[in-house]
Amino acid sequence: MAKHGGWAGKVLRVDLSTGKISTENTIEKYKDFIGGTGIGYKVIWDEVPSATKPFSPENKIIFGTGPLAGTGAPCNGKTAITTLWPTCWPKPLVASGHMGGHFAAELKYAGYDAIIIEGKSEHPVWLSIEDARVELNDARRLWGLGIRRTTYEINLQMGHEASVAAIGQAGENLVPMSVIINSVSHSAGGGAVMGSKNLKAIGVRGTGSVYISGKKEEWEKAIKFHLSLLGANNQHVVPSSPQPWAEYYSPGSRWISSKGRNWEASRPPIETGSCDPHNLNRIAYRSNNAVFFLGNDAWKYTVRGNGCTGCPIRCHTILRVPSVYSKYAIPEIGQNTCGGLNFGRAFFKTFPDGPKSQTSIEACMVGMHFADDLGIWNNYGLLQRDFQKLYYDGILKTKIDEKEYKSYSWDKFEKGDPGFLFELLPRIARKDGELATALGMGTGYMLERWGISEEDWKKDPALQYWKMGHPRHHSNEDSGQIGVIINTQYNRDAQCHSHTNFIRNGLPIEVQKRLASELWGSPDAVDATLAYTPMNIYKAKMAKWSLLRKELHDALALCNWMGPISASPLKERGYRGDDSIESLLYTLATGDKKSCQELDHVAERILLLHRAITIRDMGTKEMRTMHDTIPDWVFEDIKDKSPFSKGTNRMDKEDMRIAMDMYYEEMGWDKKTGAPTLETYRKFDLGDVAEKLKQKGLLP
Amino acid sequence: MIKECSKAILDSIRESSKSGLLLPEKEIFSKFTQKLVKSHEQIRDDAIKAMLDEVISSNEDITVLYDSIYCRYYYSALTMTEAYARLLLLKKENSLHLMASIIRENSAKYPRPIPITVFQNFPFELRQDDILLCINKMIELQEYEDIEQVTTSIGNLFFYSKRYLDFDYAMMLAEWEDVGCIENP
Ligand code: SF4
Repeated sequence: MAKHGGWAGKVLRVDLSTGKISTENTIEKYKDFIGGTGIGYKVIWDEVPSATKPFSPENKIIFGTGPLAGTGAPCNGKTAITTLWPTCWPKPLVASGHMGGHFAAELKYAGYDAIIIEGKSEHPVWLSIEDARVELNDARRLWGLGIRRTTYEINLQMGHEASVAAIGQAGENLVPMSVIINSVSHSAGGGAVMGSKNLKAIGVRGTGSVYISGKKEEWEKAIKFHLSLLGANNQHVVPSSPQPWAEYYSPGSRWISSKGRNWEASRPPIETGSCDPHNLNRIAYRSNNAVFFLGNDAWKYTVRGNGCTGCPIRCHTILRVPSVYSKYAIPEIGQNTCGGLNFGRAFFKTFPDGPKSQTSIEACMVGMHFADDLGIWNNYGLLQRDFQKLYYDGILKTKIDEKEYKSYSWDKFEKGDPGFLFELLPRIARKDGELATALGMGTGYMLERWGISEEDWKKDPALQYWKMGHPRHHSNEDSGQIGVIINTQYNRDAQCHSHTNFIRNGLPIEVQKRLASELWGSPDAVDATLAYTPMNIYKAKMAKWSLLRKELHDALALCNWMGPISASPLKERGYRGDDSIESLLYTLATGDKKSCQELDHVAERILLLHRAITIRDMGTKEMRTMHDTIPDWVFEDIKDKSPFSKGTNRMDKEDMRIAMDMYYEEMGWDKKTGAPTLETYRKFDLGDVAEKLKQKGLLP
Repeated sequence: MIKECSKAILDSIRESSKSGLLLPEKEIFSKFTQKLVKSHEQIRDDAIKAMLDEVISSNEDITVLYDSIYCRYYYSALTMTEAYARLLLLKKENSLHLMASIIRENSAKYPRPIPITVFQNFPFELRQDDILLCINKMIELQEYEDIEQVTTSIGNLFFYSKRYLDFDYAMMLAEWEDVGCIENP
């Protein structure tokens, strides 16, 4: 067999029940699925039987990187963690989370493309991987520790270069709302699945490298080209304020560097400056997610950005907030991005000094400190929204006993005192009391436990609850019908950024329409925000493209928060991006020549397999009515504005019916059931999958 | 000497643009008159004018803009966009006009209302009180009767032009940017 670049070549399999450690050939077994979620779904389809429970030893958890992990490709640090998702309600189904940081690169340098964890250890263990030396180690002394201390202890043993993916107390205690974290703040769900297997952590250190098949100069040229097209975080391609080099700007852009804006907690302070896009050495100065989310006060606490392997964006802002040490005795340094930064703040409705205030920043620091040490997941903010609803609607009082109710300082909560988080978050991780236990189960199971109808949650637009225990994630608020379609497809929140990165890129609508016309065949594929037009086939094409590129990124180990490169900051290119970047990098890295259409074909195979597992495990082909559902609030408007009028996200039911028809048709799925047809499975070389579904009556 | 001087004029326009500034014609005149006087060259304004014209005609990137009283300003398109150069010119002239044209442009082009913070930040750097004063003045003047404001649920002020956006649309867009985008990262 020809030697491939990109892939390390081996998949590590660790059976915790027997202690057996073995390897498989990546190319022979998984090349048709590339890596990441592709390997994850393949393992779940082949090896995890229907009706398996997430915490049963028969469930598997797959840490999948891809051929671009550990290379010089920009933003290549993702490890896709695939397993049966314990917060998926009413029945856990397959899903994946995407962990950034340095774990993926170290795993590749150690010689592995993925790790399949199966079985259950008799007692707590941690897995060490040092190139070919792979061992299970006793973790009894680590059990009960937070993620930080665990990481520290393992780094003491393996050296500071080792990347450690660990669970905290939440994962150990089988709290479904738990995460796995490496490199301080890079998380993904599945913590409790690791906990159920008695696996505390995986430490990995590799001394090898990733072989690139293409010529060195071609590879370097491709990397430089890719870098030249990058914007700021979420591929926002214009600055947030007018800059001398910029034709356009957008106050909603995450490209917030400017003259006079400094990382003031750096020693000495560093001015971010104008950041002309042609200066590739200043990409890291463009974004500051702490300022974007927490307001201008965060400049004075900013040390710098931090991030994943090969990523110049550095969206995990490092903050130094001295007051939290004196007030709360927690470390004054913290780092995170988006949801992680907002974790603590989002519990509170108000703060004594305003929404983007010193207290709110302190709440962020306290929230990050606990969430990233105990390993708690926030389900894209639904945890905090649930909590507020339960409290302010008076539901909580009726669900927990008086003694427990009084054990919380509700006055602190109402006032916006970050000290309240000391009471709530450790209890969630310990399943301490009825409230904490219910919150830690995830929304669907919490509602079921407390006899609350899911319909009640679906009716409240403030909750943004979508389905199956999870919230919306870039749905109608971002691109009308396209976002809605995308949000119907997964078994957790959608986590697709392909569409939102384009919609929010900051370019004027005329430019966006011109680019849309080139990418999806018509300017009508996109609408101006909050000015939606009826469904058309180009929107269906954009929805499909968005989903395929998400799957492709998850398989290649690229960050879907930074791609696809559908636009760029370059005026001389007419702000065009290049949507064949993935194929350029894949081909050069692996030596397996694939056009972007051919790569999209593989991505479609991966998405199709996800669909097949979902159908198999739900035991029904009626996906349209039982899975791809849309909550009522999508069809409502607070002012009762009609769909397609300006200023509303409200969708129209009949129009969404047409939208789903068009999407299923684009995918080659049966319009009545929403299930893929036999021909479609065959087209993607999944005939064997189709046969198994056919035997169970699960083909349309 | 003339050649050297033309080159120096070209360099100083490009340097100014690189630093994010327009170069006013009168500054070029005073700088180069002094320089030439020092070198005992006979120089007249029309000679500098001729040099400037030469610089413009032989360098595609050098562009001239006029303010409302027909004073000339120069910039290099190598490092400064026309949009930014016009903004700088407006900033020099009239805060009301500046704010109105920025608000209108945003409402028409993107379309979106813009937050008050845009005017507080670089490159406008206006004080909140001055911005509010301008807005209050606009209310009294017919030529700005299209400029309106909305306040989001977290109390932040956004401006828009009703020529391009109606109140509901502007309100929802402002709320989306101020609250929605942050809650949906
Ligand atoms: S954008 Fe952020 S999450 Fe994505 S690769 Fe870069 S640092 Fe990591």
